[in-house]
Amino acid sequence: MPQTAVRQRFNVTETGVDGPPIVFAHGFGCDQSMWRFVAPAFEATHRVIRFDHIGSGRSDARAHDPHRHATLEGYAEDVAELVGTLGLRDAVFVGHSVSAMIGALASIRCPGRFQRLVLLGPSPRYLNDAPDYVGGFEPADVDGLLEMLERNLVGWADYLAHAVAGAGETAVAAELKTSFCAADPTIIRRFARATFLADNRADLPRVTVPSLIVQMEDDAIAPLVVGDYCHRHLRGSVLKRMPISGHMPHLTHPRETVALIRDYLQCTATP
Amino acid sequence: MSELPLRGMPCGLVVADADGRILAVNDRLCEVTGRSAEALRGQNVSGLFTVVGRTMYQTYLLPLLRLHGRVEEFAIALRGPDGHGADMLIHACVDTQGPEPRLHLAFVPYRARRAVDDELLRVRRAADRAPGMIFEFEVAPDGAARFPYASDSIRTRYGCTPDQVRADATPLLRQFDAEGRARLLGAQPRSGEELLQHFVTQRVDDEGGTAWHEVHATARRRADGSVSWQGHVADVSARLALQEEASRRHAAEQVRLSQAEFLGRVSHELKTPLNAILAFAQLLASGEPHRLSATQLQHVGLIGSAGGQLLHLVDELIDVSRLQGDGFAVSMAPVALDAVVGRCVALAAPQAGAAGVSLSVSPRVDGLAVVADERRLVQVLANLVSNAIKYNRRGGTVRIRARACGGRVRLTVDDSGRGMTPQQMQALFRPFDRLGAERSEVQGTGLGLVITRQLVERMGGRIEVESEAGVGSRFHVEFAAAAAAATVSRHLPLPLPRLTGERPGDSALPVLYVEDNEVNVVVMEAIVAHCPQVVLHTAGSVQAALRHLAVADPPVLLLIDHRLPDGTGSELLQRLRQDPRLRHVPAYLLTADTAEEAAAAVRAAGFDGVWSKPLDVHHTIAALEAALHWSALQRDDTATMPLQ
Repeated sequence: MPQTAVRQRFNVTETGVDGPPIVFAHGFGCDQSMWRFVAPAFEATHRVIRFDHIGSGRSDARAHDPHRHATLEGYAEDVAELVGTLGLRDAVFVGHSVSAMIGALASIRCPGRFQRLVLLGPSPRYLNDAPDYVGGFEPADVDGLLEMLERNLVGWADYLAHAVAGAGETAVAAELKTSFCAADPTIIRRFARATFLADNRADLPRVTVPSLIVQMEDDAIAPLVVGDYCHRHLRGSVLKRMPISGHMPHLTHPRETVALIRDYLQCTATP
Repeated sequence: MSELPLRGMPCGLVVADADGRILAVNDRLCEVTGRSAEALRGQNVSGLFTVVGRTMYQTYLLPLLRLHGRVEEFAIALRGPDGHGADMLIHACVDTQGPEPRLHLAFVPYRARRAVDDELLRVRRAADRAPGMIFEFEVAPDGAARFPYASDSIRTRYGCTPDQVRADATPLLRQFDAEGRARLLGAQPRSGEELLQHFVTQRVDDEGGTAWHEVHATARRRADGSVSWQGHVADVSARLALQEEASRRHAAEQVRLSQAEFLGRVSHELKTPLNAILAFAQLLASGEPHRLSATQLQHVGLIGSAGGQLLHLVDELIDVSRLQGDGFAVSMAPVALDAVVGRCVALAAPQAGAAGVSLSVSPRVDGLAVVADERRLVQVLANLVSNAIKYNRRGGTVRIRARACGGRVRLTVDDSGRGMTPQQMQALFRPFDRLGAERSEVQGTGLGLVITRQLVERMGGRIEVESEAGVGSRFHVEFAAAAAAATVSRHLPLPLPRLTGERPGDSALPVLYVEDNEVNVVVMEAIVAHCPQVVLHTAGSVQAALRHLAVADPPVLLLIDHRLPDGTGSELLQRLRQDPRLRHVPAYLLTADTAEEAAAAVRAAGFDGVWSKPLDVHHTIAALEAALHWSALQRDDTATMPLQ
């Protein structure tokens, strides 16, 4: 498929210089605008690529395939197709939350395309698997989560579509309002199922690309033990802890996040 | 200060810093969570929620707050004192007025609205699962059209998203044909009227494939002048195709039935007078009870042979008609050649003798079998042999041979007749074209070979001709070989033992003949006159037969015509069989109809056999006697019944 079609399908935004490529993949829940405070920091040194997963942001929702996108492997296929069509080589892949795992799966498919993985709050499996594995969620929690999502998404899509611009609101803010989280509710619901029912523990040892794991100290979605588990099973991985609460360091603590990534890339750059 | 000075508010309130650390809460929030203001101060907001609530807060609520600055009516769950969730709607905003940014959160119980939401979600789930698309469609006064609602199957059915068509209906509408679009865009319900619309429109997809979509919807006019539709659209292509196929098959079946009915009636009408001609000719020629002069015998003979030719022509015409239609069925089975060839030779012997032509059969015919319809195979071979004799010369020969080769069997009839030129061979199978023989003294209609070829082809066989003018002709017919053949010839009557001696009551055996045609009655009376022990009773209709049987002794034999003025022979027999006195009386169906229809009627109604009209006098007398013997055996309790 030609580049223009792929760019449109994934709503690709390309900024920066003609340098080594760095791809930012948003996590579950929103779209590439999440990287607003982090991605620009790399525009002086890298070719910065941001995109929206199918069904999020302004990607082409018609490209959603209920079978393909029923598992994270389908999303990994999308990423592989994207980097392949754009002709990226030795890219840095920055994935948040479920996109961390999607990136890891994509790197198994086409390791030659990736040089480094940066995984913000990764988890190979969210469901607990007694007695040894703690993912943080019980099956009833996942059911409750899917239900709550459904409840909110139904209301939200409409609310945001009709949101009235506040007084004194800038164009930037208004644009954010309409694009952010105005995702396709049905697709997001399926994405949530794919995410929270996934089990990619067996895939971790197959990853050959070196990676940075960024772990938040008080993260309900990716608790500390999960970060440790990832570090143990990902070869060539480095684990860094952030003393913050929450799951969105790139939104809540962008400066610290940029610094972590930059340090990692510089330290491990090949001479 | 950890408790806010707003006591008694109906909602829980929280103030937190930019990192989510709780600064102050109100009494209502303490009540819901079961924790004190002091205990909560300094804790992170995320600790207020259940596992699910915390996930929603961290993945959705916080980013929204960060980027939008406010969130309204977000469903979430606080953790109560016993660990259970308390469903809340959260309203939150970021306050950037003061020196430090603050998070303000308000929690309102989610009860009444929840009931509405639950219902909405139920309906949505059901609508999304429905196979067709459920929709609300709107046309504004200025003509702009959109779908305020479309169920999830819009994605798979029309390749659009609900979001897309919420703004503009064009991506979906342009897939429908002009008529469908006109209906949707042009409907003008009157005020207060609910316009019911039901139509089928053609839909063209991206690849040019077409399908039929059926719309069921109601349109009404809104106060602002827009027209609003609610309804359902589904792909009915498969259903329509099935319906079309069913009605096509039904129409074809109707045609076939009416053809068959027509031919049956024609057959009946033609053969009824023939019955009289042939039977009376035979009866007169038999010399009983009055001998005729030689000239009279000769004349009677001519009447008989003319009648026979007429019968032959009628049969051929009916065959040709039926072969042209769809209703001609052959019943294929393994058939032993020796029986078939033997029968043809027997049939042709008189003709061969009269023409001075010798008939021979090669011994290899024995032991070979083919897959064919036995009756029709006899017809084919008889036609070929008859032609071979007809177009021959005195002292000439006709040979019947057979050969097996590679799964097929080839039957050859060759003659030493006049042969044909290449031009004549070309015209061989043309109907009514007798290739010049019409100017000779040889009788024929020119239909025989037409029928023969069609019969051969219907049986999956092939026919070939070789010929040399002045030398002779060779006709080959080829069929699939059969492994083994069990032939039960339907033409040979079962031999029945004859009763010896007189039996009490053997005279005056009542036979009931149900027939409405007076000429046929006279024929039967004349035939029965040769069986003195029979007393013939007649009835001209179903009702007449029932009236007769109500008062008379039960007959020993029932002869029932197939076509009666007030019903069929089968219907009559079925009614008669309900009478215990008549349940086991042998019954025969008399019909001019073709064998297939007759066989079906016989099976269905419980006849013991069929007599075909026009009746051959000698065969009928023999059959009558056999039937009477059979009837006597049945009535005789002490006789044993060795049935061959």
